[in-house]
Amino acid sequence: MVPDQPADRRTGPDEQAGLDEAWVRRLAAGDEQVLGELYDRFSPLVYGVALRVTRSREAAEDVTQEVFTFLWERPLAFDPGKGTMRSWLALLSHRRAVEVVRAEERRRGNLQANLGALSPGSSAVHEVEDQVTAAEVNGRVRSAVATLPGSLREIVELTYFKDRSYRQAAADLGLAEGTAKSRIRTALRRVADTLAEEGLTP
Amino acid sequence: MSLSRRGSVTIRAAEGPALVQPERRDAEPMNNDFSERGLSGAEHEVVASLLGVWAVDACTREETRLVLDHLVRCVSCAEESVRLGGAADLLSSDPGPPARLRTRVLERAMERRPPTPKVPEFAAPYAAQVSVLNLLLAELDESEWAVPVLDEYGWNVQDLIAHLAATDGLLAARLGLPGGSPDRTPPGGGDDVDARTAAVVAHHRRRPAAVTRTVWFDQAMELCAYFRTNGFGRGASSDPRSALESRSISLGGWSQTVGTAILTRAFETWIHASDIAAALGRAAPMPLPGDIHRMGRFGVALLPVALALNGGRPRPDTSVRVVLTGAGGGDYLVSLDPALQEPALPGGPGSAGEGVTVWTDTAVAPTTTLQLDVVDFCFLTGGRRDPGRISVRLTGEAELGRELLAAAPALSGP
Repeated sequence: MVPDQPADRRTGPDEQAGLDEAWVRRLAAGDEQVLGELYDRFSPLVYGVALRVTRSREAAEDVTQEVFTFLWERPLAFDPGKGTMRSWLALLSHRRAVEVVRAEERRRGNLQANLGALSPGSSAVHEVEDQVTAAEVNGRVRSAVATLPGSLREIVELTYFKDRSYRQAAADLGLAEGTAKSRIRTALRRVADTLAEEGLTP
Repeated sequence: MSLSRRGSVTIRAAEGPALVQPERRDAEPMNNDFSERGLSGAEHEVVASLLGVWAVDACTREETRLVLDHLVRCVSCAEESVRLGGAADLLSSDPGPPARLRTRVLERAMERRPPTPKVPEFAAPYAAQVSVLNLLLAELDESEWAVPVLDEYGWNVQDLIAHLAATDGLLAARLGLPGGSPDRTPPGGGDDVDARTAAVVAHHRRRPAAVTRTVWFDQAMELCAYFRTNGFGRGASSDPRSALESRSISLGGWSQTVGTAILTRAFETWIHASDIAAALGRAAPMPLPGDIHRMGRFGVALLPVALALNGGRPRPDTSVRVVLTGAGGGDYLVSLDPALQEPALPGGPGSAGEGVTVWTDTAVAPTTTLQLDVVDFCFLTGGRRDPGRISVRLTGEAELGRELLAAAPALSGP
């Protein structure tokens, strides 16, 4: 995931609003170059959100295509008063990805079935079973996690980095499940806050 | 299934937590919450408590489904999910979409909405404004086309688009473009701007709004194609403009150049897009700064003509400095010397005899200096600002300044 700005430069809200406005002007004027620029800047975000929700690379690619096509076809649907271009694209991706998953589930027609992209033997599973080499984790993300208080950091370590479910993590740490759930949420909120100050999360 | 995040990403389907805690199976508070799924308050709390674990993929299938069902109906949870997930995404260090996706996405987008035609610079403001207005119209539902826009003329959105089609059509006819169907050139159209507008507006009141929009847009695209084919290349060696840009035509009773005419079309398209947006409570994006610059400069060049039309007395040896601020602004000196042929419009930006030059410190001292925002000035020239209420800094001979501001809208039509 590539941050928007170099490490030592933060975009304030006014400056970002100005950048967003300039993009909308060029999109509206029909300048195809700006779509390429916006794709380069935001496709990791849009794709990443879609991938997390759909758990399928193919579906995430489709969602990414739909989001950027929508941006190009209807740039006036973006309301700068409601947030940044970045947050709008993330929400579009999220919304569309959720629809895709639910449509897949309905298609399979079985409430007890695994969510479509996840059932053993489905092609999506084979596809996502490919090993992907991870990029080096951003140093600031690591330090955001490292600065969490111990009780929050340990549950993130267990559930995220060691793959435990929240019930397992609760058992491992001797916590009530409700406590485990709320600690994970608190931990992620704090990481999001820290990184938002640096312009890294929607 | 789960994501493992140490150095690689594997997504595998699993049946749930690998380690079963039997004593937790059916006695969990979760099951009670499931049975209360019908109550949105309880459901909301349950989902809210699950958002974090869902973001890190540490919950069961049923919990995932519950979350997804809720997210489509709850904006605040969706927003928080995006935020928490953003943090989770950064932890995941996924490399992102494959490189080949870029071409596929851009090609698909351009299929759905073709880019604005590449036209010579002097016609670019028109092409861009047509694109903006077309996007604005695409956002309207059927009922919005009937919303009144110009009360003075009794015109709604559809009428205004018909009017633009009529006035664009006048230029198209002058350039020799085929008239097309009666929808584009109804009988009684004629060469007079007002008569043509009246005929086209009346005709389209009997047609669906979608037809009016298509007629206007298709004609605009044909104009752009004409400029694309014929508008590039140099004209006379002493003139930086192309032959087409500097070609003289007579339009609406005014002698002018093709460059001036298409810039006026751009200007009018911008003003009316703004009229429609305002009437519908929507926002329309501003033109690109370069396009605003051309239109602003042109407005300045029109000031002497506007002054004369407004009954202003001739002012020999008088120059006015107009400072237009903001993106696309400029600093100009315009001569009010009555050496203009009437009815003739100045030759347009870059032409030899347009009467406006870029201000320099060595220029002759102006009688009056006006300083105002470039967009305000453009809208003033377009008859959409009250000269008495506009925000302007006036130095030098104040009366002349006020006279100019009052005269600026003189050339604007509907």
